[in-house]
Amino acid sequence: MNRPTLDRQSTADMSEPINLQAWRRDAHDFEREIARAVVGQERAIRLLTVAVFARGHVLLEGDVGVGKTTLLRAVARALGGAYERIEGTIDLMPSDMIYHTFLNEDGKPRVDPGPVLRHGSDLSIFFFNEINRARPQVHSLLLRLMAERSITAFNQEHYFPNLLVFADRNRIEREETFELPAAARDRFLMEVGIATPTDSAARRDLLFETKFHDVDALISSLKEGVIDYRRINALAKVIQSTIVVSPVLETYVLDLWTAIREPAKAGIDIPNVDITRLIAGGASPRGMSYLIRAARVQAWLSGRDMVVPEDIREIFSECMAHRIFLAPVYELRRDDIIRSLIGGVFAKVPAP
Amino acid sequence: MRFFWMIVFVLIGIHPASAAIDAVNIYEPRTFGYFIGDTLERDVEVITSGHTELFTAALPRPGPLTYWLDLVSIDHTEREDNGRQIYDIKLKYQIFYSAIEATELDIPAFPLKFKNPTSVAPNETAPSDPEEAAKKYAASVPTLRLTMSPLRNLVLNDLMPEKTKELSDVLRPNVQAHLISIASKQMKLTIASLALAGCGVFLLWHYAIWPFAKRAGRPFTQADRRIRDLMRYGVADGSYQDALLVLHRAFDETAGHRLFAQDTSVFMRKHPRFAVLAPRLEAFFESSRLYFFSDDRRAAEDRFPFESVRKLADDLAREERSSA
Repeated sequence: MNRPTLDRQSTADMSEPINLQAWRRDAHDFEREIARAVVGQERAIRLLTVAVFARGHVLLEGDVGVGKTTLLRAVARALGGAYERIEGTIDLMPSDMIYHTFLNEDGKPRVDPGPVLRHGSDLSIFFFNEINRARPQVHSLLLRLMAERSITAFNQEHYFPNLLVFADRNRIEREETFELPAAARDRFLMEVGIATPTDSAARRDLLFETKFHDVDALISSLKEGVIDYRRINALAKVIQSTIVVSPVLETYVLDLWTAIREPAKAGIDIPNVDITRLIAGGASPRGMSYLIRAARVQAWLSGRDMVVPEDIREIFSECMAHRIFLAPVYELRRDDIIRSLIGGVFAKVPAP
Repeated sequence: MRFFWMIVFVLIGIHPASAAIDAVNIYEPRTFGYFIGDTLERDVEVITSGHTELFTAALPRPGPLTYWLDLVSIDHTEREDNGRQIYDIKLKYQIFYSAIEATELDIPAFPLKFKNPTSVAPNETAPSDPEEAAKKYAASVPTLRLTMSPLRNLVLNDLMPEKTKELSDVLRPNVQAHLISIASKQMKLTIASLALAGCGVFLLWHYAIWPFAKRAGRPFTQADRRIRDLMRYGVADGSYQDALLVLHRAFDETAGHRLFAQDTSVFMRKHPRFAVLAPRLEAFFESSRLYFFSDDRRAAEDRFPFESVRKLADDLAREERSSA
């Protein structure tokens, strides 16, 4: 059996001290590099950058053909490291992600590592396309991969310390799809909505600029490995321990949390909604801790050494909206209601 | 002027001790010069002795006696004098006879009834003569004949030559109507008025009409006042923080939502009257951010001291008032 390469020794020098200033410049370079390939999505790029440095998985959501896949490929290219993608289909089985079997040229059966194992611990981005087309068995494998960054295969634990899972789903079709379980959604740091750019210059470029017509050429024109993906874990630790979250901000976030869970008490009013029965659950503690992680990165990217309420507000919707579960009667109007709810929470909860 | 007749029926003979009905004395009023509506009183004194008593329940009752005569009242009192019972009966009549010319009328007689009228003293025998016995054992109030006079037109001038006034002037004033008690109605009126006033106030409040109409708030003016109050307690750390918070809340209220440092430019565009204070506003938000969200509070306080906060609040309040 062909064994995958495991625990390849990192060649980067891990002992070099982390310089947050220099890393911030690199991060901005990273953003600029992606923006060369993806126009009119500055906010999505910023959010993905935050996710990369907060070591969080991201679910992209949006219409067909708005550039979700291009964006993720651009991120993968700029980040460097091994990149794998898999298409979610209804007949995809968990084993398809781990290995595939075939007869080789000698007519002998062979088992080769699948997309997840192929690059060993070098894997930096695993891109799951159309995740809602895959079956729940696949979701549960993915859950493990996301939560623990490890899987068990061939009687062995495989670790992926640098792994980030990016997934996308299009929201137009619901036939032959499997809604992601709440537990899986909760493990994504962010759920980023990708919309068609509204800026007319960006729209004009997308339509008439020839470089956007060939995605492969566009992606390969990007500089590879703008940042060293192997050091991001260490950087993320430094960011989390350096950026200050003051007690006042802690109180503010706790107040936000309470207001999201009990909007009626916070005095939030949404038209045509019985606010006392709106929230069925969610806004998990894990979600709130992810929020703080992402807020620290956002503060760092903004050149600050402290988290301010603006950082929270900037990422709150993407970090929390998919963790809030509404009463079933309101689920169909979810987008509007969640937007009003989060807007109301930020308008009502005092900071500082 | 009044005179009366005294009619004495002496029912006892020479031996006084044995009589049952000793005397009925009637004191009559004058018998002439009566007009319609006049009243007259008759006093009757009945004296009995022994076991004989006047049967007062049998006295006539007040009320009309004939079509022209009413017995207005009848009172009787009883006293004892020297072993005798003396009954004083006071009868009051009113005449309603409208005489056209002088006429004589009789007030009818009525009998007096007694208990044990026939009892006699032990040393006496009952009279054998029935007529004498009747006198001895029965009595009545006799008829009274009156002379009624017709009413005539009176010539005032003749009666009162010095009077030259109208008849109405010399007549007695009309009877004053007695006042009906309206205390309960006044109470009800008071309660109803209070209820009406209460409803009015409620409606004013309900529709937010003056004085319940919401005036445009003056958050900065109030914040300025509170910061001045805070300054009185000295510039301790706690009061500096309170002052920042007070000013933040004023910003929130003016903006209509929670205002963060990032939002100052939007705030300026919406409220251009504060544009002149823009650099100081930004400095305030910057230092407040430093104060609340970094661990270097001292630096924030040095950068934007309490006095600056007060001045900024003062200027904001002035701008707020000048534009309102």
